[in-house]
Amino acid sequence: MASALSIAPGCAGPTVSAAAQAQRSAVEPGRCYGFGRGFTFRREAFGGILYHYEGVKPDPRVTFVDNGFLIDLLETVRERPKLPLDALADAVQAHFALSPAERERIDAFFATLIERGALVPR
Amino acid sequence: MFPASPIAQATRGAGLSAPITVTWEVTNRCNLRCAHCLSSSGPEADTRAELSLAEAKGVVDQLAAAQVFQIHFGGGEPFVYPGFLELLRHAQARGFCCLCISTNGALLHDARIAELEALGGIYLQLSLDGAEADACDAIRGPGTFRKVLGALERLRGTSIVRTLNFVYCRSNAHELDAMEALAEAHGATLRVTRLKPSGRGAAVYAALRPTQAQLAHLHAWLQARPAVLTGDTFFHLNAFGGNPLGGFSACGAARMTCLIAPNGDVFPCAFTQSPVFRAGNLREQDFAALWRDSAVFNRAFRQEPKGACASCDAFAGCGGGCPAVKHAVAGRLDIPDPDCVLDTARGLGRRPALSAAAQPLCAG
Repeated sequence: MASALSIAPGCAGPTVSAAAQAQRSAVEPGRCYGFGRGFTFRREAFGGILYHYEGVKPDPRVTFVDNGFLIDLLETVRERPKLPLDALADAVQAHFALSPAERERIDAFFATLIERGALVPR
Repeated sequence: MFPASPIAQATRGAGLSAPITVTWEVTNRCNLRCAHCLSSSGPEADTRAELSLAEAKGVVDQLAAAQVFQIHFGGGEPFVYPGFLELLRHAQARGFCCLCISTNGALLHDARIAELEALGGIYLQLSLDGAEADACDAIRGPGTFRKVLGALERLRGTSIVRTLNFVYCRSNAHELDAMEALAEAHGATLRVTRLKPSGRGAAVYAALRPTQAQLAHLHAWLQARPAVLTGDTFFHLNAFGGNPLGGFSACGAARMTCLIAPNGDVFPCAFTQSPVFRAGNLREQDFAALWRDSAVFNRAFRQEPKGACASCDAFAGCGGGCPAVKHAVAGRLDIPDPDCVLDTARGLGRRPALSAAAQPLCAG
């Protein structure tokens, strides 16, 4: 699973960048998140599709996610509603020994979903 | 944003595990008889072979099991299908939280609007082919404009999301600005779509097909209005250059969408309802298997297009155009779109002759 993340673009060095800090701070510490109204997703061979039923331009209705690992994370969010989002990211990073760049990718993914209302605090 | 896969790559070959949207013409019966109707619908349509409500609920179950995201109901006029609201409720119970309905609006009386609003998650597409009665009624029939305007008034103040669907024709091309204003005045989003020679549209295609100058104007107009929806029907205009038009800007037939006909037949899209493109029938086959295994889908619609467009440097933008229009006009898919904006200039091929069915518009 971790190897899937290695394909992700990103050039963070061994330290956490300012951008990464901002992305990480989008996730409220210790807070559980669920899917916002009208958001769903499904797995595909290339990764998955995030769908927003109420998406109207410029907010996209369909987003292609070309990384199966990120879809794994969404499934975990759905299946474990009492797991805080930052704890999930920490656990995944520790379990798979992810690099800072890979962790940054997860944080950016969650930050984007929160910004769009796909993930909302419970 | 996300590292989005190129859509064409994601949907080529085996394609998606299921469509993103399924268009479902629940009936061919309609209270109107529009000149360009893609399904040749009308009051006289024979409905005996159409799916019963129980069968239709079974189809909803199949679509839910396949994880289809959205159902787009159309027709005919879906509100004349017996038990249509019950079908909507069944779809919601199966997890479809947004249901799109294409309607002519004439049957949207107060009680029905209240029912739809109570249901929630309804997205209405109302057809209107002109901002004035003359232009609209010449295509959709006398009195239609007034009825649709009445429906829009009754929808005012409701929470129902709505678009005004406008088929861009030679005779109403001058109405773009007025249609945009009309939609805005009624709390709707304008959705401009392409006239295609399917159903009765084949008979009026020659008369109503926009000119190249009108297509060029439309392209520039759309470029300046990214909020206007197009249903991904004008991707062939990307060959003009500039920014790609919004949405997927590519043909989604058998890749991201497909059509269920009133009798359960499945086709790549609403405009390819020809026996040669019939993938199967949901009375006999499971939807997910049909989507995955259909030879028609896999061979004709999910392969890299070949033919006259293969070497054109505009291909990445226009994708070779609309297969449905190509087939309806010339009976083949390996030619440029009949409305290719570069066809003449680059000598990619001669513009195909219209089919014998083409004849002047008979409005009325």
